[in-house]
Amino acid sequence: MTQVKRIDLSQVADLDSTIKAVCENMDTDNYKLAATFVFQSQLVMIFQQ
Amino acid sequence: MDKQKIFTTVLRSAGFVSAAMAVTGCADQGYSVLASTATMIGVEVSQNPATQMPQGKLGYNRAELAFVPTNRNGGKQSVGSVGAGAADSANVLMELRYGGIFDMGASSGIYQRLAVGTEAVKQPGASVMFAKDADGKINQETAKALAAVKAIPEVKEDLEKKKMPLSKKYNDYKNNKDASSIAKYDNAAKAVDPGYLTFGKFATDDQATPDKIKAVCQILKSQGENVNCD
Repeated sequence: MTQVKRIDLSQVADLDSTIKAVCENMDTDNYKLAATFVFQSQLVMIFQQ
Repeated sequence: MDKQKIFTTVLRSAGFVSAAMAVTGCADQGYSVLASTATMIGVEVSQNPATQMPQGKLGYNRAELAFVPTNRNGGKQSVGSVGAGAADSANVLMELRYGGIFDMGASSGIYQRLAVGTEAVKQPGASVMFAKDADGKINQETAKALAAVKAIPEVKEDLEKKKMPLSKKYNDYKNNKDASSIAKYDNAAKAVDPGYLTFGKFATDDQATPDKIKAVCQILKSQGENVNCD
């Protein structure tokens, strides 16, 4: 299973803690961060179970 | 006075005038954020007097300086600051593109894009502006990719951070194989929304509202969990 999340880099106030929070929340359902990329001002995070 | 000295004198004069303007024109201003960039390009073709061989040198010089005023007017104890002080500094989004000194094609030259201010940086127009290529156009693939990326659910920073302390405890219980505590969290999520079969389904749900997060937290707190639901 794959889930994709997007962080708008121009909107987020604290990127570091936001990424940590997303990863911690996704880990509750056994999703691990598999890949990331940045497109324009968007950080895309791909999680896999 | 030879040409080199005249040029140097003019350059120094311009520097003094700029410095004077900066001091007098911004005399009432408090603290500023100083932003600067510099690049260099130059070409020199000559003959080496020792070997008589022709030689060439390339370089490019470019400087940029900006004072971004803030509302801060002193140190931490200052009473002269306005609003949120230094936190009110303007947001700046800048792109500088240079094709390179050997680029003679369509992509040669330099361009710069700049968005200043909180609203300018956040608004969709800034995204569109920065999505354009060197000719100022958005190609079809870029537009499609931008639309596809925008369709991905956006993380809500505040909600993710509210769920995180609960998730951290849940993950600790999972790592310690504490079955009764895991069941407690799963049941709390299920009690708030029967669609959440496990706590994990709740924690990974983009649509989990602040009310649901608070409700799950309060159930866990009522069962003895040391969590802050404010």
